Parts: sequence; structure tokens; C-alpha cells
Amino acid sequence: MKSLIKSKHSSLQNAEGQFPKPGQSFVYEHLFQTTFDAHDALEDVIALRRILLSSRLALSDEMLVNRSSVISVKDAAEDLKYLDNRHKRLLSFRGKLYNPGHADSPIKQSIAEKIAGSGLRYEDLNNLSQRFGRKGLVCILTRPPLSSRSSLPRVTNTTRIVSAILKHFEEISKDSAT
Amino acid sequence: MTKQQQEQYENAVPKYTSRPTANFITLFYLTSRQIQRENQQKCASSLPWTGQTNNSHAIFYQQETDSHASKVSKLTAKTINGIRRLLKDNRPVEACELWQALRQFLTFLRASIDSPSKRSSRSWLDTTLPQLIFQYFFEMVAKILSRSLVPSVPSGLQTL
Repeated sequence: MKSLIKSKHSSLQNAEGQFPKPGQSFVYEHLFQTTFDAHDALEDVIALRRILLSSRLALSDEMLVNRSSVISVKDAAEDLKYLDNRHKRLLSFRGKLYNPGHADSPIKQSIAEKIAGSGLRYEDLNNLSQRFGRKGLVCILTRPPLSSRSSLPRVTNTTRIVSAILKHFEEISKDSAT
Repeated sequence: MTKQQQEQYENAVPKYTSRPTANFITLFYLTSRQIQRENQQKCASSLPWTGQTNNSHAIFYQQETDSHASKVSKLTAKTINGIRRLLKDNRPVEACELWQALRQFLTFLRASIDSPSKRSSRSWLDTTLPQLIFQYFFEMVAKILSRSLVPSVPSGLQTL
């Protein structure tokens, strides 16, 4: 959709010369002057099919294939594997550092996902805290990994978030000491 | 902090992992865009594989259902009279387990390709492409959904 809007596909332009936002719902409404039950998986597919195959966009097969960001099955499988592993690690944070649906959760799901996505389980952070204390945690969370070419931190540099994580493990440490 | 110190800390935790850089796959016709999202649980409980309503089935995912997934799919799982059921708007929906769904999906795929004349739309995507990739795709879908190794792409299809 983004590609079609960027290339200013004439069928996506309204009378005022404006283009819809790139979301499927916006494009659908623009093309058919009606809405569909977005986020219902089946309705999503039906709507997408209508947009791509039965609309005034008249997209060629070549355009459909080349602009669909199709990737190899191997890459898709690799991505799936990564996400499966991340999800498994994410579950280790639930009810501890991350409490879904609780306003007082030390960190949000997005941060827990980021930690899990970087290869860490809750137990890894706990062990690190026990062995090296704050220094170890701060280093792992805020520094770019030595194996990475990126200059971005492994998790985050945001003081508020790092402080919340440190506080959590310090409380755990105090509780286990008493 | 010295590099040696950082090495010491990094050796105490698992190696850094990052998401593969490839884009998300688009399985046109077959899955909802929800499968392109990050959490498979978001889509695992609701995976229609065709635009034809009478061929759609919800897949009942036995594992824990993510609350965010429920917000997207509007599906919840509850135990009613000792049996786990999948609900939409608090009404039970027809659901089957993953392996049953997969088998039905593959049957649907084969039937779709065996009877192309029944279709209203006859583009290259409807005819030539499925014929080309059916055998590979059949195996690929089974393996992706079962999270096992994906077969290598036949050389003739690598340009697709």
C-alpha cells in the first residue's frame, strides 16, 4: 500500500488530490466507500483480496509479486524461529519483572520483549544481578553488545527503565537476604 | 568500563540475538495479516486460510492465550463444562486443533488446484503459480506450522 501511495497511483487519489493513509482499512474505504470488520482475520483477508484483485487499482501480477515484500521461505522460517524463542523467553518475565495488565508493573511488555529479543531470560538477569550487582546489569542493558556492529544499547539507555529493573532485582536480593 | 569487564559480564549471559533482517512474509490468500505480526499467538487462535467463508476454521491453540491477542482477534478461550472452548463475543465458535486444521488446509489447497475451472478469477496467481509451487508449498506449510525445518527451495522456484 505504501508503495502504491508513494508512487501516486492515480486510483488512490481523491477529488481533492489527496491519498489515503497506507493502512488496509483506509485504502479499502477509499476504494469502495464502505468499511470492513478490520482485525477479524477472515475479513482482513477478504478485504485484501478485494483490494488487490477486484478493485480499480487493476494491479498487474508483476506488480503484486514485486511490491509485496515477498521473502524466501527460509527467511520467513528464521523469523518465526526467532519470534518463537523470544516469546518463550518473554514468558519467563511474566509475574516478575513484567505483570501484564498491571499499572504497577516495573516494565512494560515492549521492554520485556526487547530484553527477551536480545537473548535474555529473567533468570539470566537475576543471575547477573547476583554475581555482578548493578554494574553487571547496567552494562548488559545499556551497552551495545561487543558482537554487534550497532552503537545501540542491547536493551535501553533510558534511565527510568534501567532504574526500575535495578530496583526490582535489588528488592529481590533484599528479600532473599532476610 | 573496560572491554574486559564488559566481556566478563557478557560471558555470564546468553549471546546477544537480534531479529533477522528480512521483511515479513506475505502469504497471499492464505493467512491474515495477523500472522505477519510479532506474536504468533495473536494469529494462532484464528487462522482462516481462504477468502471463502465456508472453508474457514478457527484453530484452537492449546497454549496460553495472550491478552493482547484476544484484543486483536476478539477470541478468548474458556473452560466450559470441563472442555476448553474458543469463544468470540462470548459465543462458542467452531474450532479444531492445529494438526486437523493443517490437514484440512492442505486438502483445500489440493482441491483448489485440481479444479481451477471453478474459480471466477483466473490470473497468473490463480493458476500458474500454484501449479508451480504446490508440492513445495504443501511441504513448506506443514513444516512452518509444525515449527520444523523448512525444505530447501527447488532451483526452478528460486527466482519467485
